[in-house]
Amino acid sequence: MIDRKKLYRFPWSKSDNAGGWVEVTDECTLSCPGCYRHKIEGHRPLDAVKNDILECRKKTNCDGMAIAGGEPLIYPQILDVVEFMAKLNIKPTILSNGEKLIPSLAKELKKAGLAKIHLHIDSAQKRPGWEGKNESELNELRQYYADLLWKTGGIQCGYHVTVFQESLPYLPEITEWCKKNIHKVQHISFIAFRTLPTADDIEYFVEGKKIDPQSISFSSLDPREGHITTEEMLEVIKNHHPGFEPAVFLNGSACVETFKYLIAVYVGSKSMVYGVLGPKTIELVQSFYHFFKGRYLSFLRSSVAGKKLFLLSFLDPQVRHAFKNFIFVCFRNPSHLLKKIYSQSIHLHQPNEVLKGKVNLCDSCLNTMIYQGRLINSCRLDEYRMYGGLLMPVELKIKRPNHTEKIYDAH
Amino acid sequence: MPIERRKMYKFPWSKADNPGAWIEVTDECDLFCPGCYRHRLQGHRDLEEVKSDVLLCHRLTNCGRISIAGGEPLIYPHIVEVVDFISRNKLQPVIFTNGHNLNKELAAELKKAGLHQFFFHIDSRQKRPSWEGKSESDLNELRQHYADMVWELGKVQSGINVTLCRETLQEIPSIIEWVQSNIHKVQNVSLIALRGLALTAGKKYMVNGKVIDTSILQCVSVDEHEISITSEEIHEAIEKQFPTSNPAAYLSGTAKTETYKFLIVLYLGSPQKTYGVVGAKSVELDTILFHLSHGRYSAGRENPKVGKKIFFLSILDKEIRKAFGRYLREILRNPIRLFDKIYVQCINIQQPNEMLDGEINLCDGCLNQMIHQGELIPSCKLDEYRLFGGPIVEISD
Repeated sequence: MIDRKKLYRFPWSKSDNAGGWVEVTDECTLSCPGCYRHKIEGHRPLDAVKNDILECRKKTNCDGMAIAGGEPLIYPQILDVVEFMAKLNIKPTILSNGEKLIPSLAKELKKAGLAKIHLHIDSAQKRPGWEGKNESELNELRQYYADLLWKTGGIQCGYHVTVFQESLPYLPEITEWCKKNIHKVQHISFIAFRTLPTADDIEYFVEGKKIDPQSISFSSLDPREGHITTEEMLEVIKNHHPGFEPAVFLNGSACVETFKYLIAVYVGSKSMVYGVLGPKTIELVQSFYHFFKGRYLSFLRSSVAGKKLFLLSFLDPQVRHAFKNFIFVCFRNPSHLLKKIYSQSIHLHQPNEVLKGKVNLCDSCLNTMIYQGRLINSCRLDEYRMYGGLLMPVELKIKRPNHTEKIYDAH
Repeated sequence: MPIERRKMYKFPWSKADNPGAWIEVTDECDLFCPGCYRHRLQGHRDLEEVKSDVLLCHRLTNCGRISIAGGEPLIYPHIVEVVDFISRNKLQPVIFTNGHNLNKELAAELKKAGLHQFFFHIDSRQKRPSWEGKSESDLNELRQHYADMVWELGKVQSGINVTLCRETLQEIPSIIEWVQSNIHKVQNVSLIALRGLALTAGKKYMVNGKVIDTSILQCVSVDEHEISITSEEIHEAIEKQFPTSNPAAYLSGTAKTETYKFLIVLYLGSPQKTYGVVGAKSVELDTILFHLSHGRYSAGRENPKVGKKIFFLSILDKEIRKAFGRYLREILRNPIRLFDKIYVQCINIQQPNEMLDGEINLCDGCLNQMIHQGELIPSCKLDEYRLFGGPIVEISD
């Protein structure tokens, strides 16, 4: 059981958040299980995208913004979008499946001001040429993109992995690969697969009208999937990497006790990982970044944290532990003194879900976006686009009170 | 002047890391106030159940302060035990009361049990016996009575809640004037816009897929204009008379992030004179340092007598710098002011739970969450759960 008191809850909220989200297209070259985006409108006009970026910045006060879709790299004006965002001093991050990423495009994106790419690669994607490969084998593909971006320079590299029952046991191997690539890979998100539960005892309504769940293409009848929690993922990783200690979290909006985000930050050099950052360091960084810059930090532009990080040992026991490991290693092999120190964040993510008959979102979600002028959760965009409003689940088995007879004082 | 969001600090509170939480000990009350959303359904609650809610609330919200509300908590037979229990768990107990049942003896008992603060709900719409027909300005006399009683008690803070309707908006300056002259006695004033469910043509409401019968609800209105006062309007009414009342911090709405559910103005001064306000940078620094050192957020200052050392924050806070300038000018005019004690006082402008464009617009970072059947819910939604089993949603006709 995770001791919440030992973690830092990000200070974000809807109107003061580290992140924002914009979608440029809903077209994609792959069809990944768990994807909640339907092909409805194709590529969006550039001006509409730019307006949304401005509005999103205004409403969320974000530091970084995700450019998502669909597949953003097939959007014809992707360079314009990146450049527009960078000029506004927003850190642009592209969320891509990587299929269209080639060295020349990476160079152009770098020139336009791209700060980071998150590549979605996992074994359920049925990616051409990689069908039937397990998560461990896919580390080869991850390595290819990590090397490509490392050679390009100036763009940070991150990965997204949707986690299913079958791929859950592979998390330690992916983590191991990440640790070895701490200088090349700055981020990885392990995202538990979620889908809308469909059963006889649950009904869905939108603005009072009942919706047929079968019309929702991302619904699933497989009862095994859709229940992996961040705690389970943590346990699987910790069994092989005991030093993997999360420092920070976001809770659920309806079920506060759930961990929608659990984040651990490794500190290390090309040769080895020395330890993790603790909650006090994250708190200090988030708080004082906001104090001086007026917004919360999404990520640092440079992945090189440097040895000055160890100065935080005086208030962060985890950093102190990492520093001790570093000193110990330096005694054995002084060449470590010359190595650069990097940080790498590993996110365990339990997305939008229906729990106990309620929609449990990430409280202070950093992926809010503009839809028709209002700020919504990006994971719920297609509920608006397809049904005109939010789906409201109703669990029929839950007994409802009927207190009307019990009002014994009508005042 | 329109409020500039960039000049304010958004409180970093969330559901799981919040300075405050809420428990209700009874739903019985000896007054009936317009805007009250609590129905009399179960009477006094079992003490053990209340205690267990306190513990769960603390665990889920990481709060430092628990508001004891109702109904009228002072008619709950175990109120002293509840205060004592909260206090023993190193939390600040705060009682929300209409004050009707408060006398010196009970106040002393509550102080002994560890009470941190009283919030007195007093406004002209309450039809309070022997205060019927009085204006907000007239009611300052009653507010003074309770402020004096708590002041004499010592070490217990005092707050005032006022529900505002269109008619009483114009009386806000008289309340603020009274509040400022009592800066040493009154630490908080909440000016709360009246809200309710609009029962106008074409509006229907549903809970869990079923249309509900709104006739059993007491907090409803057929006049949408009456229940649409915004925080900005309240602030404007203050600013007209007190132009230096710049807000320092806010909470936004959950559905409409551009709305201000909480707007916080922090006056700085002595009972003789208000010198200005505390600015966003000071609130942010105070919030950061408190959380770093205590592992939780602060719901208010332990000691409102901040002293002149607060003027050191002039280095980084423009508002305090301005207040310091006024203070220095005042001393030059009247050197005896140098011996005045300096206090800080919080004016909390609230735009509560509302349905806006068909969406439920709650306070993002609400500090009044409570336990209902083991789950954390906003206290303003409790009776939607108790009556209908879930939150009310608006549906298109």
